[in-house]
Amino acid sequence: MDKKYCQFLSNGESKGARYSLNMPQKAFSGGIGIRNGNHPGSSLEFKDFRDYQPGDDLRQIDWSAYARSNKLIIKMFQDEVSPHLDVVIDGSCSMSLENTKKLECSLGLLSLLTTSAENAKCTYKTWIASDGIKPVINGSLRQDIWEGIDFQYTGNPEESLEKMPPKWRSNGMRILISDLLWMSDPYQFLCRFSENAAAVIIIQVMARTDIQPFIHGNTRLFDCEEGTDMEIFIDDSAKQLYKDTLARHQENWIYACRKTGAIHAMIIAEETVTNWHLPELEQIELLGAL
Amino acid sequence: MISFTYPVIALFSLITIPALFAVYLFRSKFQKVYVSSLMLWQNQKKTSKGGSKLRKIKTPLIFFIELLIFICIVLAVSRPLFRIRKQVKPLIIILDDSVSMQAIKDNMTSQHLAIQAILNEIDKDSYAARFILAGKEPQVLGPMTTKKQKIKQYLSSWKCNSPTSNIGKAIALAHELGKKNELKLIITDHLPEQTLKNSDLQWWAFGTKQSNIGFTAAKRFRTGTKDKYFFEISNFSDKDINTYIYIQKDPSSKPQKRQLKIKSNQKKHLTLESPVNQNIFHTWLEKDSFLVDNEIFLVPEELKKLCILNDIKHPKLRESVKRAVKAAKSDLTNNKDLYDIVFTDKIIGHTKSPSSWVVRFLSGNKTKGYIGPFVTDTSHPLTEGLLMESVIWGASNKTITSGLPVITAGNILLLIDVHSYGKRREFILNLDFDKSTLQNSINWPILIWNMLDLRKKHLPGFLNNNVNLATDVTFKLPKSIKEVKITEPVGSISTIKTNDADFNFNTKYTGIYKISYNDKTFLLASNFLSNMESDLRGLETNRLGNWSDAKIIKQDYIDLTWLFILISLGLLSVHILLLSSKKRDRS
Repeated sequence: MDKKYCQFLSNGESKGARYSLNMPQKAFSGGIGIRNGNHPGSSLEFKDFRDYQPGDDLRQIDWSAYARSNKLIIKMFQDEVSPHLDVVIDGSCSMSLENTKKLECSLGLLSLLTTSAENAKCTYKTWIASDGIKPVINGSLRQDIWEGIDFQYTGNPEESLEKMPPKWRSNGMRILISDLLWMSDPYQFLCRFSENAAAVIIIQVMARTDIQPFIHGNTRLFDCEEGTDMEIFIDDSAKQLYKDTLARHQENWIYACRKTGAIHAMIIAEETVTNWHLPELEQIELLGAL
Repeated sequence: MISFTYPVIALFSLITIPALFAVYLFRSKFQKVYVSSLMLWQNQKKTSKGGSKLRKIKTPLIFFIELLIFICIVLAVSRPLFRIRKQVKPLIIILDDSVSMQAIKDNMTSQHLAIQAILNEIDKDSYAARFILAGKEPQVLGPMTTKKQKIKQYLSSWKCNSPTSNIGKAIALAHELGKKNELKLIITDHLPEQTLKNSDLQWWAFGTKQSNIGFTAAKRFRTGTKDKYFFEISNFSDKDINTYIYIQKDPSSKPQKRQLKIKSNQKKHLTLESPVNQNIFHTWLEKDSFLVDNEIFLVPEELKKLCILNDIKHPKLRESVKRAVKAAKSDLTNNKDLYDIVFTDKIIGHTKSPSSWVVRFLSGNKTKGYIGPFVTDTSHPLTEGLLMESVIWGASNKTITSGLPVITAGNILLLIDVHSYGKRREFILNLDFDKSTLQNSINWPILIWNMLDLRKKHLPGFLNNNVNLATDVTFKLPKSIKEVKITEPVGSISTIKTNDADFNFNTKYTGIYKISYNDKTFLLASNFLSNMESDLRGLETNRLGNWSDAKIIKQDYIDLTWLFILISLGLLSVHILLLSSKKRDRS
């Protein structure tokens, strides 16, 4: 893998050491797990007593205690869970836009999330949305041995999903790292993306120039993905129009996320890579301090 | 044909045009920018500027407008001049503004003859003329003009009412203005004292030698209960004259006709008297060729009486001041509200009245007698007639910082003149009466008299009520008078805003001037009395000098700067309109 990519991944790994990934309740599944759950479960390890509440598993009533006290008491055992995280990174060219920190931020974030998942005793698998949603080689293992990551794809994650749908683990948590800058119906995409997922997080990584274009005057714009160009005169009104269009685009995504139960968060690459403080992800309770 | 006053500036300014090109090319060049996606830019309108190489060469209308604006500004800066007519001769005409130009011969004054000659000359050739009035002081009438209407306008302001004309000074001014590049024409009624040397100078005299009789001196003054009138009538001819004089002591009375015989080249003095009155005295002679010296008006001199308060506690000093005031023929008053001048030995006080003056005698404890040398400001009216030798002046050596020192003994200030706000004034005398001999010397009444006289001169009214023609007159106003009305002898009435300040004016006409404010009226008589101007025997008619040698020509141009500024402003408006419409389209 490119040395630069390794460097970015290594950065994210080191920064992710201080975080733990917060998994949604639904993501905990299976009778046998590798970590203790937050709910009463079926392991052999006793946790606590509590009063019976309608809906509780009748099998867990401590009948001896009922005999003694004439009260229905639940005997709680520690639940054991095995949460899983699937992280998909957008492998399109726009993620490595020149003169921006999008690539550094995206790879760092990927690494940070997997490290924080590891800290949360959570299994993970990394995927890249290129010519299909392809698993990153050794993507479940240490970051330094990952292979197959590149950003040459000229399509978008939706096309990737169409071409080669992956086999994601049911009730797992899914995270997409992308700039979301493609033209389609976000709802359709998110429906497919969040199929059988316990939780879906869409992290939109934007360069500062994506949000606030600094260019002025006569400009020839090149689309780094499609290779097409466009000549326009950019002034304050043009910039305002751009911002309005971007805001509408983001609103569509946020609306679609709300409809599908996904969570949307946007981070600005240049701001993130300066100190790797991630208030946006802490705010949606994706990350918690260790 | 257009020529440029500053062609070098124009050439330098042309550098801005390639600069505009450069700016425009730089502005039109497309910068390459990679973006994540074009989808967010799809709503934008594509620019009509630039694009392919061919389209780049196509320059928009705005550029041409900017280019034209630049060119117009450059042209305006270089001050383009358009030659409109054939060559004109620059000419400075010096007009003799003395009264003698009003002398009549064959029903025409010298001034009328001169005006006709000037207009004829202007018609004959193309001139750009400028006029200088040669009165007591030369005065330029206005800028150079080629328009006959403007020339007539200048000539109409030539009044010939100056008691004298200083043609030498006027020629010097003409040389200064023309820098020897302009022709000079002197219009007068007499011949030059020296022969003309300059080829750019012509001397036209329109006077006629003739005899004249006129008033050359007049005075009205009061002695006790009588008003006396004194006249001097001069005969400027080589033969005896037998004529009549008309005297009217009262405007309502019938004029008194008297026969008047004056021998050739002689002066006759007349003295008349009447009981004290406030009437305008009017006298005149039979009409002759020079009217202005045939008539005299005399108004009574205003009697200015001072209200004086002696508020001195020191008994000897008080008595001494009292005697000096009495010697100055002024009276003391006890009215403490209305006084013009106050003598006091109080350290402060007596400043309530807005126009009262204070003479303050101050003496400290540690006083010494100074025997001199005394330094006096001889330009100050209080020191007039003072002889400070052999005077001992007792004074304290304390420092008085404010005011103008009038008399000092070394660095000890003895008499100080303090100008306060408005019309108030204060004289401070650093005087220890007991150690001084000043009050026993002749200087004491002189000093007090000077103080009272100076105060009198600042009382409301004229200093002299009978003045000569073309005299600068000062009218002293009491405080709080904001405007006064002036009625001139010719009947014109004008109102002048004074704002508490005294005002000056020049007596341009002979006759009676009336100044009035509130319900008070002050009279001023202006008379023409001049031995030199009344003597018409030196007047001549002749034309001296020749311009044929002079090769001075001037081309008449119209400055076109305004036109280019106007065009650039118009283009600028179009430019703004175009830009705003483009902006609207874009939005």
